Amino acid sequence: MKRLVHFPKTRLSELVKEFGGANRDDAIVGAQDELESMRGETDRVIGESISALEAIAGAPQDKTGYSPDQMDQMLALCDQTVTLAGTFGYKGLDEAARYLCDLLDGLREAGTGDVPSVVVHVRTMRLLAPGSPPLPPAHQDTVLAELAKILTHHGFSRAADTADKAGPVA
Amino acid sequence: MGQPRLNLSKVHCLLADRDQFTRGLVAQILRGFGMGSIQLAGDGAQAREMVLQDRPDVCFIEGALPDISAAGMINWIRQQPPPLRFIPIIVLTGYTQLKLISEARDSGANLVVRKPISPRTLFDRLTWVANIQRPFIETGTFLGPDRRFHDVPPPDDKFKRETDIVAELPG
Repeated sequence: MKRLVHFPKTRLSELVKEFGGANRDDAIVGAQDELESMRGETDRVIGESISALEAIAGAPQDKTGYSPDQMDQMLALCDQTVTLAGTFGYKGLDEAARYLCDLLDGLREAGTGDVPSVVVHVRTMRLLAPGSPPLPPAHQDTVLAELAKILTHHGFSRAADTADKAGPVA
Repeated sequence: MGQPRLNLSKVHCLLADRDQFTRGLVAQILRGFGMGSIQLAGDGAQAREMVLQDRPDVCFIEGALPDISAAGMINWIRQQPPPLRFIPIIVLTGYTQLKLISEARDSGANLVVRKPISPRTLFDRLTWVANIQRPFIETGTFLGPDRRFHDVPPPDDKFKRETDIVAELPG
């Protein structure tokens, strides 16, 4: 098979070397300041996403589970919550949202439903959301350990484990 | 050795993410770095149009846009005539999109970065993509930067095999 190897010089690599710009520490501090200005808005969006999750989790298609559409919607909301909670350092919420992502993903792949487990996850997310009364770290650990047990009970793996086998990633 | 320094003031980037708020968040980080200009796209159709019209210097693409996967988007960019096809592409994957990492890498992404994104991670990855020139491979089935890390390690210093030796990045 024909194989060509190019050594392109990109505009990006040329431009970033020009005189001026910011060193690493200054650039990171600048970005963190920019991010911090969005914390209030982020808290509001997280609250809205959890409300939307509560609405869907509380209205399953039937007793046994959720429709594919509902699953997709919950996964999208959950994914967004992981991103926002992780970016702003809400560790407990981040972890709970990851557990719900793993649970939903597992249920979808297995073609089964487990309404009570989904509801418990969403309630935990509300408990750990910004604006809720802060939970002592030991209690938070206990609550998250219970979510881990649900995943183990179903025999579902965590998405992070799958990704670690996929190759270089930052 | 001094800190890495990037002058992004003239760099023009494209940021494509389905979620408006996340798009704003990442854009805010890039502004904090001093990024010259940022074009925002919510789907693949918009992103393709912007690539052709604005010819960005670097693209940040979400793992799964509503109308096309990152792999599809990357394939499309890599099929464009040079120099457009050589644009550095960084894929941003959400937690539920982690399974797409291999797909994105094999489609010709320069780097895949997991969300949530911290300013530190994004700056270091961008520095790596800007400064480390990897050969660009073109075969019948692949078009993109060399996926093998011979001389320099990937930015997180993690190789796939335990026997791989982690080399120091040149200062």
